[in-house]
This record gives sequence, C-alpha cells and structure tokens, in this order.
Amino acid sequence: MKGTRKARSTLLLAERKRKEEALRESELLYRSLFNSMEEGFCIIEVIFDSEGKATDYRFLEVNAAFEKQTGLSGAVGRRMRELAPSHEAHWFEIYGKVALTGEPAHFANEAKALQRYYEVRAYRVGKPELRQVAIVFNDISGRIRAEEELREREALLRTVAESSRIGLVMLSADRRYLYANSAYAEVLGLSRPDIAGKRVADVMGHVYDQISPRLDRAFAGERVNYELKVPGQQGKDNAGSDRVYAITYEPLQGNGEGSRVIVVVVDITERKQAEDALRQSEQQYSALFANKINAIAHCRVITDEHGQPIDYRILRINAAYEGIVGIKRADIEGCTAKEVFPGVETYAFDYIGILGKVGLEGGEIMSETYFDATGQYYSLYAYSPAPGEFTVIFTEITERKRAEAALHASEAQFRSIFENSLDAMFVTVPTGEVLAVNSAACVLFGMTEHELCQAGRAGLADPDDPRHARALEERVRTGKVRGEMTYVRKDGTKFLSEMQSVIFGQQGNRSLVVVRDITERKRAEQEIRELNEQLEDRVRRRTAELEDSNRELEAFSYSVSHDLRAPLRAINGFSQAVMEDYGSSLPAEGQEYLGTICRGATRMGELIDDLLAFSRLSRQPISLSPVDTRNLVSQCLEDLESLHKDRVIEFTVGELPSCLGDRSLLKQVWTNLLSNAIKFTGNRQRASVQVGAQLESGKVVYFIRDNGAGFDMKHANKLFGVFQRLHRNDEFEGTGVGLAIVQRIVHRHGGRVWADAVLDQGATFYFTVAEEGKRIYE
Amino acid sequence: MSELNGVEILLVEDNDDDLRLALRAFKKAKLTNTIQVARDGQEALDYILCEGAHASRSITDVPRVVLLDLKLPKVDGMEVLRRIKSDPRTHTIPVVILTSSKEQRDITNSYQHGANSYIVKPVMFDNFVKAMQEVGMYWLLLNEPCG
Repeated sequence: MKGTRKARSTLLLAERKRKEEALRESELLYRSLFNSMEEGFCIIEVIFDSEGKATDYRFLEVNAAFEKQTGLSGAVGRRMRELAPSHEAHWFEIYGKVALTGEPAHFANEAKALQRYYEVRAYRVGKPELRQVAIVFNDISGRIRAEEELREREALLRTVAESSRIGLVMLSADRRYLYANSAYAEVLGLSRPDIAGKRVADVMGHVYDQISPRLDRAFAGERVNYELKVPGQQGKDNAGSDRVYAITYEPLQGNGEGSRVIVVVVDITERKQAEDALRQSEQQYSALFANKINAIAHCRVITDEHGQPIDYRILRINAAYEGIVGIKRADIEGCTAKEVFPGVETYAFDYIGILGKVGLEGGEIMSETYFDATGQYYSLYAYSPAPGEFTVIFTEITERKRAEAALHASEAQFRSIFENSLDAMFVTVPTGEVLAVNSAACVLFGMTEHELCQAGRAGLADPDDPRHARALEERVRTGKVRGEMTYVRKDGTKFLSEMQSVIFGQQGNRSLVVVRDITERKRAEQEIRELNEQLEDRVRRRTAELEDSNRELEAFSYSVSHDLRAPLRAINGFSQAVMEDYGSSLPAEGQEYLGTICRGATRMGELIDDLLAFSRLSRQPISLSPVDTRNLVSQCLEDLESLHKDRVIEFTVGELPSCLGDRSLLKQVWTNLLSNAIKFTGNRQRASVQVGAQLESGKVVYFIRDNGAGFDMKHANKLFGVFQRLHRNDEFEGTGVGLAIVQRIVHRHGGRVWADAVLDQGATFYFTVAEEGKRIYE
Repeated sequence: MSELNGVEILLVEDNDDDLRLALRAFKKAKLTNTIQVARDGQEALDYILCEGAHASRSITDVPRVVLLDLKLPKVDGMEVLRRIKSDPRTHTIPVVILTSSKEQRDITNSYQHGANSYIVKPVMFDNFVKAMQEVGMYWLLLNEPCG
C-alpha cells in the first residue's frame, strides 16, 4: 500500500493542478463572458457614511459593455459621485441595502444623470464586510421609450376608436369579438358588454349568412370590402327603415389561432339615400324634360363686354319645343336665339332681355306669350339652374285663354244684365250678408249700395212676414225658391214683392236674390179681376141676349121655311091649274103672264132655299176631322159632271194637301167654287179650270182658277155679300148666296177667302183653312 | 082597297091652298081612294084614336097611310106623330111627313119619332103632283100593310 500514498499525493497534486486549471479556465471563461456579454457588468464597493447610510460607491471592476451601457469611461477605481454627481440617491440606497442584507435586488429604474433607463440585477459578492455588490444591468431606455410610444399609440388608437363614428371591431380566429367600439355598439343598438367576447354568429344572427363567407375569406388573409343592407328592426333606432353599411375586413397577423380580423363598419345609409335621391331626381328631371306637353329649352346667356345679355345659346331642347317652334332640333341646339329666330330682338316679348336677366341674376319669371307660328298662347316659365344659364318652359294655354275670354265675356254679359235689370238684385251669402246690389235695388229700397250691404237680409226682410223663413228653408232644401213676401224700405214702409232666389257658385255659398215690387201688379191684377168679373157678367148677359136672338132667328127661319113657301106653292100651283083648266080660253099673252108668275114663284122658292141654307150655316155645329182634300175635290168634280156634260173644260188638279175641317161643309165650299168656275166659263170655247194649293207664310192656300168671265176688281168688296151679284141673271143665273156661303164656312173654319180677277179674262178664288191644332171659331 | 068603304088616306093639312092643291094632285095622279082630311092635329088624333067627334068610329078601322104636315094648329104634327107611334093600337099605321120644312132638325126628329117617310112639298106644282103620285103609288099599291 506503499505505492498508494505516493500515488495519493501524486493524485492530490494532479487534482490540485486540475482544480487550478479548471479554476483558471473558469476564470477565463467568466472573464471572457464578463467582457463579451452585452449587458453591463460591474462590481462596486458601497461607501457608507458615519451614520451607516450608503452615500456612494466605487467601481472595482467593469466589463467591456459597461462603457457602452453607461457612457462612463475609466470608471474603475472611481466613485460614482465623481462620475455623475447628480446620480439619484435611491441607487445608493438600493445597492447599500443589497450590500448590507445580501438580498439581491432586481429592478428597473431611471438614471436621469445618465439619461438612461436600466434594468438592474444586483447581488452581494465576496465577504459581507467588503460590501461589494455585483451589478448586471442593461440599458432599457430604448425598450422603455418603445413601450411608452406603444402605450401612447394605443391610447391614441383607443381614443380614436372610441370617438370614431365608424364602427371598429377586432375579431379573433374563433369569430368572437375581441374589441368593439361604441360606434359599432350603437350601430347594432346593443351595449358593449353585450358584444365583448360574444360570437359573431350570436350577435349578428339575422345577417350572419351574408357575413360568414366573407369572414372566411378575411381570415384566409384577404381584404374584403362589401356593402351590407340590414333590414330595419322594430324597437331600435331608425326602426322600419333599412340601413346600408360599407364593411371592410382587414386581416391581421398570420393565421391559425392567433389571426385577427379588423372590421370597419361605416353607415352609408344617408349617402345611399342621397345617391338614390339624386338618381331619382335625375330620372325625374329627364322624364320632365322629355314630356310632350311642355316645351323646354335650356340656354346659356351671351353677354357683351358690359355684361349685358345680347343673345343666348340654346343648349338643349326637348321634342315638344321642336314641335311648337316648328324647327328641327339639329337647327336649334347649339345655335343662338338670333340665329334660330331672326329678329327675336324685335319681338313684343323681350326674350333676350328678360330671359337673359333670369340667367344672369337668378330667380324666376312667369309670363304669357303668343306664337304666330302655331297661333297658340303659351305660358312661359323661366328659372336659372346654373349661373349664366336659364331653362325656359312653354305650356300651351290657348284653350284656357279662350275659356278665360269666354268667361270674361259671359261675366260682362251677366254683369250688364245684373247692372241694368229693372228688378232689384242682390248677391248674398247664405247667412244673409249682402255682397253686391244693383242700382234697381237702391231705387227700390231707397238706400245706397253701402246702406244695403250694411242692412243685409235682416235689415231688408219684413220681420213680421213668416214667409221669409220658409223661403230660406226651401232654398236650402231645393237650391232655389220663389214666392211673394214683404220687404221694408229705408223709410220703414213695407211693400209686397215677388222674390226669387237661387243658390249658385261651386261651393253653393252664394245666392242671387231678385226682388220685384209687385204692389202695382197686385193692384192691376185686382183691377183685372174686377174687370173680368164685370166682363163675365156682361158676357153672361150678352150671351143670354144672343141666345134669345138665336132662338128668335131659328123661329124666324122655321117660319120662313114653312110659311113663306106655302103662298108660293099656291101661286105656282093655281097658275098651273088655270093654265091646265082654262088655258085654251086664255089669249097667248095671258098664258105668257101665267108662265111669268110661275117662274117668279119658282125663283123665289130657290131664293128662300138658299137663304135658309145660308142661315143654317151659322147654327150648324162644326165637326172637325182630317179631310183628304184631293179626294174631296175629285168627288166634287164627279158630282158636278152633269153641269157640263156638253162642254169642253180642261180641269187641272195640282197638289192638294189635307187639312182639318168639317168635310161636308168643305165639300160645299169646293162645290160652290167649282160650280162657279164651270158656270162662268160657260161662254168659253176652251174652258180651263185649275185647282191647286200653294204655301204662303207657312200656310196652305187652296185656289180655283178659271179663264171665264171674271169681274172688275172694283166690285170685289161685294163679292161675298148675300144676294150680291156681279153679273146679270140673263148672263149667268144665280141667287147670289153661293159665295156668301163659301165665306161663312171658311170663316167658321178660322180661314180666309179672297179673289183676284180681271174682267173677261178669268178669276181666281183663294181660301185657307186654319191648320191642324189651331183654334177653330165656332 | 080590300075594304071598299074604308079610309085609305088621312090627309092632315091646315092650309086651304095646300089642301086643294094636294087633292088636285091626288086627282091628277088618279088616286081615287077615300081621302079623309083633318084640319089640325087634334082633329087628326080624334080620328085616328076614335075620340071626340070620331068616338063612334072603330079603332080597328085604320087608314092605309097618314100624310101629316108638321106645322099645325092646336097639336103640332110632331106630337100627332108621337101619339100615333106610341099607341100600340095605331103604331103600325104608316105616317108620311109632308111638309114645307127642309130643316134637318125636323127631319131627324120625325124619323126618331117613327115617321115612315119624309117629303118636302115642292114649290113647283108639277113636282108636287109627281111627289103625290109617287107617295100614293108606294104606300097604297106597293106597300103591304102590317096585319
């Protein structure tokens, strides 16, 4: 084991050497570390004053980074107060405490004297009594500043975000709200706690379908811009109206769990509405411009060097404008007024001056104008849409002008009627207020126009006359009323009037009242009534008288009919008897005398018959029915054939309208007139009788014309008298009653008969029968 | 003519002249039949209805025809006609009105009261004779009396 000791000592030496070496290596290592580390490193000896308070320290050792970190050079062996006299006391206190207690300190603090900020680790080294402290420190001024800047920037951003009207949100990869500003909360109508940390799908449920695919793209790193329309929600602000938002997704930092998306939300509803309004306005304007009724021209004013309008350029017109001026668009647009309308400056309407003023000074004008080219009236409206420009719009108003003119004429006419009426007239309102009166009203009431208007209905109507109230009721019910009622004059006298009133006006709020004083008429009516009564009395008496005389006449006729003929029969009969019984003993002359007696009696018999027939006409009632004159005349001609069977008479029958009359009486008329014509053409070789009718002043006039003996018109007044004859009996036989009968019948039909004749050349008899429906005199 | 002594014609006429002319006319017309004359309406009625002076007469002994003037003293012709035609014993006797009147009123009234004929006495005697002949011919020779 001898070898073991030696070996042990050798081993120990080697160990020590190795330890020394290791130590040296370690010391080298640490020194190199000490010198190569970025952090400052120093070992100090803390200096205490007599009261045990650390007041300074001395640098024992510093590393290479020390100078760079502190800006202090040649520090080793020197005191801190030497190097930086203003170094804060707290540094000495901290290091003093480390040196005294051995408790390491780790802190960050500012060294104003060095204008740096340090993160410091300090711990005691060596024997405590040496009061040595090792300090590892790092200048963190840059980091602190960066942190401060970051803090400031964050504060700024937060302030901006919070005060922004733009909604700002940060979303996490799991689609939750990391942050949402108040503007965003306001947009959603939620409070921020309702949003923070919530899932987007929960908060935006109603539009999440639209949001989701876009969020996917954003989280995939794409910047996404889109507009989102959110239907209006009940119970929220802007309820009922859709809102439109411009939304931007801005992807942030990487992907996976740590990715973020910033959401920017701008409410563009108003902008959208404004855009829509503008678009609509433009569409409306275009539609207006394109309308067919209003002619529109947009023009720019041309001025001289003094700024006065001297012309204008027509920039744009519509089709209607083309139509009214009758010039093609191509020849108008771009041209000046003077080019398009030569002589425009001489027109009655000063287009250039007036429209130029509108263009230059703004405002608007309205006027009316007349176009010779179309012969129409137009209303003209011009305004300035932009400085130096004007738009002029023409609307055709010819019909309106005509209607106005007609209305004016009509108004003037009615005003004239109103003013000049002899009846008092009032225009009133239903409450009785008088708006207008005419001069007749002033005269009637003895008041001025003003007084009448002041008096009103209440001051004019007789308050004791209940008919006024009834009339008002009726007028309300039927719109008009008419009746008799009393009014009061200015002097208090009452008068009876006929009042007529009618409501007029489109709202029925005017009425015309016409008042006519009928005092005079009433008196006249009373007089007429009395006169009528007297007259009726007289008529009654006269009728009785007439009836009496008629009766007498009848008795007379009857008596004539019976008694006058009996003696004639005796004369005739006994003359005949003498002739038969004693004729042979009578000389020829005596026989002739008897013959004369017989003829005389016969003729007297004829006269009596005719006279009786004539007098019967006055008494015989007339029975009217439609009479076919043509048929009647041909029947008469047939009956009369025996009168002229040996003669040549040319009958011409023309148009014979029917009439209303007594057929048998009219037949007598025709028979008498035709037989006259036949009789008085008796000495004509070629007799001609024309029958016809003609229209005179709308009345049918029948006529019978012959080429017979005629008569002298100076005797025409005797023609229709009873027993009046214009021919001797040896020329033409007759009793002179035929035409008297004709006249009596025609008169009884309400007609007229007259004749026209030339002696020896013929006569024409005319007669009328009252047309149908006319009163027939009986 | 079946009854040889029967009255064939009752002539009611107040005017002497007319009466004589009528008789002359009948004579000229060879109407030899028995003619009874009544000078007024009362007399005519008495005869026909067998009253007064004729009360003893048989009412069945009717004349073949009555020629009746209208204008008669006492009872006028229209009344006579009415009485004859309203009495069942006499209403079948033919009555011919023979008058001067051409009044339509007389004609109408006569027929309404049952007159069988109406003749206006012509002024001219020749015509008068002719009328009488025709009346006699018709009523006495052609007409078959009732029963």
